[in-house]
Amino acid sequence: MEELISNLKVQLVESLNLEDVTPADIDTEAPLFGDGGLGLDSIDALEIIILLEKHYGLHIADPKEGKDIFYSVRTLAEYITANQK
Amino acid sequence: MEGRVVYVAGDNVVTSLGFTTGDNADQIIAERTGIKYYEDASVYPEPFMASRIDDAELSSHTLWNELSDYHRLEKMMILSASDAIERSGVDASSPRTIFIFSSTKGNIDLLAGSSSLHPDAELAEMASRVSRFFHSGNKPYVISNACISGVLAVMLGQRLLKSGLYDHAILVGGDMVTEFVVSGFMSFKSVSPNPCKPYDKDRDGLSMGEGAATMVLTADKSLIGDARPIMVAGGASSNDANHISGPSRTGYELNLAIRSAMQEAGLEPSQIDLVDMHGTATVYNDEMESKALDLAGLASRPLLSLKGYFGHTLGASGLIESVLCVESMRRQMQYRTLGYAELGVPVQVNVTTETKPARMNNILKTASGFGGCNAAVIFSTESEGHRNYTIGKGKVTHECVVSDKTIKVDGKVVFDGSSTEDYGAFIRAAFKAVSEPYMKFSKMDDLCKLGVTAVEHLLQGLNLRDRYKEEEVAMLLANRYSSLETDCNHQRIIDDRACYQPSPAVFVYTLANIVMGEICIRHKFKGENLFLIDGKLDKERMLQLASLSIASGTVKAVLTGWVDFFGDDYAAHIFLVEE
Repeated sequence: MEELISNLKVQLVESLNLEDVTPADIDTEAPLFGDGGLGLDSIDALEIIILLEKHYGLHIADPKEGKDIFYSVRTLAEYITANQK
Repeated sequence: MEGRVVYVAGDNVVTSLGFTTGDNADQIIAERTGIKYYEDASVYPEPFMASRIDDAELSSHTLWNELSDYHRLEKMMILSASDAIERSGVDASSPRTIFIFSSTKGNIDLLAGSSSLHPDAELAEMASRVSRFFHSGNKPYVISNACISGVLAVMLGQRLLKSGLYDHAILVGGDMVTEFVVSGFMSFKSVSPNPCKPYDKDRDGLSMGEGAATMVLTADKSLIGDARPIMVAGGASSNDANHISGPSRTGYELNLAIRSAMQEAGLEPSQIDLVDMHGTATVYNDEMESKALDLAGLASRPLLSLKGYFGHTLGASGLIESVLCVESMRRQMQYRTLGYAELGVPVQVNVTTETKPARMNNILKTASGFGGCNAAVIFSTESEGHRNYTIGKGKVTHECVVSDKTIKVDGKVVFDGSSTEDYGAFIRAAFKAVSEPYMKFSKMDDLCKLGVTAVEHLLQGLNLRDRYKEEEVAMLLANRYSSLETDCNHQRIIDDRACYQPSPAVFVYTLANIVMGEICIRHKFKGENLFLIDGKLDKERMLQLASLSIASGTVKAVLTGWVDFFGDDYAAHIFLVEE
């Protein structure tokens, strides 16, 4: 799990173009979207869907499904662990 | 000039439903859709729904054989314009006639599989090829402002004629269903697997469409045979200053544009016989529109979306739908909103459910698009509009030039980036020199970074937002290469069939007006928006347009000028014009 979390942080920084953020800056538990966390938006959510397809072979058809899954790096990692074959 | 009235003199629509305004209206009245199921891997790897023009049918047109030197979209535009011009009696070659084009992507099909940029992929080149076909000697205006381009063409045409700069305006819009746009909208997950259902509770996205349209405007009443001529009575635009792809959460800004257009027309909500909105059938667009209607006092007026007939035709949609509104005024017919069954927006709006004879004397047409832009125009048989558009209002108070890794404001060097390694390092350092950290900056494409940084330096110490209300600051920019730098990036991604992964974060920047959206978000500017494509900075033209914005009475300051990025070339020259 810890390895997955640190990989995810690197992939998020890369695929979302988070220039001023390093993987170490990302709090595993903090909300990714909205104020207070990383401040990601709807376009970032679509990019995370692509990231999940590309790196983990997981398909999320409806962006609305992603709301709970994308809450934090922790929830993302848990979703990947539970759904990856 | 005082007392000038702008009339609709002739028009045409080319879509999958037909190649004249009349043919399209007949199909709409018969409630037929042009949206079909396609399996065409040259456009998208999976099956999709769209409204596409059959080239075999198009080639039966009498003019077709003369057009072998033209690209597909240009042919569509020429066929459309030649019919409308003939009906109008306007002399297209006269120095008193101006062409205004509206397109988001132009000849974008020329990018596919190509390593170098085809010159006709530039929108200004496409526009001059088409206007030269009609022997026009005037440099055309080319609007590329996302999905509001067509409505802005009507607004600009009205202002140019009212000002007396020209006597006739030929508005030509066009966009195609291409691999480029379909892959992009698919990556946004905004395309419905079914024909779209505007304002419906089950709506799940838009249908792509293609088409061309022409509307000929004139200030010469002798050309108008109709006893009850249709006039352009009002027009306005605004920016949400909220998000580059998501619409406003409140609808307040679209409401601002609607109110301004109605004020110009001198019409009350109860006098509006129909509101034809963008109605794309995405969840958030339709929701926003219902809120805007409510704020503008129009929630009970009949509401129409035409997207169910020929899909979302992008930069042509505003013109195609405006022409069909004008036709519904001629026929005194209300169209049904095809695809709509049960209300699914938060405000109780009055979506049309029947095709029937109805009073159609005043129609409000609106559009909203990426970059947070909104526009509204009013067609009327009762009102001629009550604003005088005079050239010469406002003067340049400050200017900023970005070139060769240097930024100058009012002639003085304010940032010297000659020691930076490349453009990326230069623009990052230049922005950081005058701004606190801003998360959105690193996500922007190079064109947006350039525009945002130039405006950041220009506005240092000016406290613009303390002196003007948010809706009083307008943006009016131009460039040569539109968003072609990012367009080529998106094309490279979709050309790579082995690793086909279109990126929404790239695709959203394939519209030049996004740079104005980013600036509006950053500074909370909600005034008028207009993005033009031109061969080079035409300062006189841009200042004329800025003065027309100020003459509207709603705008007090305009950021206008040039911001261009392609390959190794970049330049920005932005003027602040104040009343």
